[in-house]
Amino acid sequence: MTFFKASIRRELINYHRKPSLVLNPLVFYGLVVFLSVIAVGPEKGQLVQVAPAFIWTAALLAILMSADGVFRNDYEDGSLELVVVSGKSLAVYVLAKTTAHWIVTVVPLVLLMPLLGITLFFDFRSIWVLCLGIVLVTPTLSILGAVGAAITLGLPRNGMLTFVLILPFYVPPLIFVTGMIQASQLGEAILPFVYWLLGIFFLAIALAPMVLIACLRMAAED
Amino acid sequence: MGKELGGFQLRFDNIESFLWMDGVGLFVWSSYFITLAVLTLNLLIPYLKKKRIKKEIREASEN
Amino acid sequence: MLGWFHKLGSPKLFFEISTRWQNPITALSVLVIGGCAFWCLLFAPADYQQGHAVRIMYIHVPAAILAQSGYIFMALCSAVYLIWNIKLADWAAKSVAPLGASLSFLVLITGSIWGKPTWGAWWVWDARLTSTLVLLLLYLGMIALRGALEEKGTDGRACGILAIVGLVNIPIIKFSVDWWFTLHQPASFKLTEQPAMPLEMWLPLLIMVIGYYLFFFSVWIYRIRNEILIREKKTAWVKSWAGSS
Repeated sequence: MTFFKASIRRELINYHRKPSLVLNPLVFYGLVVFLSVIAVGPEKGQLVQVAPAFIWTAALLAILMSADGVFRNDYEDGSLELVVVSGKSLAVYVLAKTTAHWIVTVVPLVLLMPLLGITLFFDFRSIWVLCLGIVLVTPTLSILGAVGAAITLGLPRNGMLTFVLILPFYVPPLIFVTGMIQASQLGEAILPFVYWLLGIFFLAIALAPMVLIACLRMAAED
Repeated sequence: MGKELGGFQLRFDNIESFLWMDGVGLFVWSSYFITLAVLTLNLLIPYLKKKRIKKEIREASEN
Repeated sequence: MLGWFHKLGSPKLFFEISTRWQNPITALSVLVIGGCAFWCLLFAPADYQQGHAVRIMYIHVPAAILAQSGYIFMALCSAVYLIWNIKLADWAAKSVAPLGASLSFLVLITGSIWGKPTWGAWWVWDARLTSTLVLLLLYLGMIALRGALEEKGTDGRACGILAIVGLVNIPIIKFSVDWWFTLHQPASFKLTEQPAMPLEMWLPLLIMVIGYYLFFFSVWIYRIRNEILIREKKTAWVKSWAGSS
């Protein structure tokens, strides 16, 4: 447990020292939503219908983009190799990494959501469900993004590659979370969606560490 | 309906009806031709690549 | 058992054995697909709802089956490579990706051509077509990752890991897309699920599937052989092979 705590602490200090890592995804997120609104037009009826679509698209792009850098610093300054040879549990290390990433990217998103919801004419119930959806779906997105980052770790600057590899895997979480928003708009039960999202999350957190460890070992070896 | 050929029922009377297929001929034939093209390319590309590799190896060993 | 396995993992032995097999398999697949195409076009019955448009099914469905089982096959090859470190298995996995991508592309094209006369639209966000689209994206991602890592030489392991991640995800994606489709368009007309297809329809379909499988393996063998030739071009046996014939 101590190694987990120490790793998270270290990560948070890193993010604290480089606030741009936290701010950039947030600004990017706001910009994508803003541009989508410009493209759709300002009518209320239309916006309420399509706004969830671009809120989710923007959220998963922002998360994936920031997840791309999760292991990069450690890889470049050599501390990844030290962790691999230190004999400490790599599973704990990757979990700490993704947890820290999730905290610094998602908490600001959730805080931004009510503001964004009001400008997009959402009612309070929808905003609440939207925040719940973000909290439920983003852990899975973070973990999958970390997988993409780890697989492409050996490459200098991979640009679009992580997106091409990981975005298809974002289809199921996206389907369930948008289903949840629609169900709440129609006044139906949202609990089944909550279960589905939790199920996907548990599956991801059970299997992804193995994949991440294999990728990190591979990157550290060469 | 067309005639029987060795126990099989021929489904068209003449070549025009075979090509026309009650109006969907264009769809059926285009999809068959696209399939033919894609499958042929799948065979052709590795075949041409093999020839090129063989030539390269031969030239490399001669020099 | 494992000794046999490792023996076949030797590129030279695989090359020698496949020399004998590749042409018969290719010829047989061309014969089966070609012959069966005549059957499907001339003798198979027209559907009572779709008319002659149902003839597209005979080339659409086998391509869909092969695109999916091709991915599973690729992931199995990758697993063999990651577990036993047999290089040939990695080349085998690599050889599947372009073939699988072209087959899923074929599924999408023939599916949309089939959709026009039956649904009245070139494209419908049907569950099958959507999950095939995701499958195509997975194949394209695989090819992109190969291309990016090829020079470093770590492409095999990274692609292997990605293929296995994809294998775990495919059922989830398929299920979620099915579910998404029913959420948006309940109980519409499905292309391939007619109540009890008659024998004279499913028999040519089955034979066509077998033909596609043969075709898949023949192209796969061609591609692996090319891969072997490139990687082993410095060896004596490859040089003598290139010089002799």
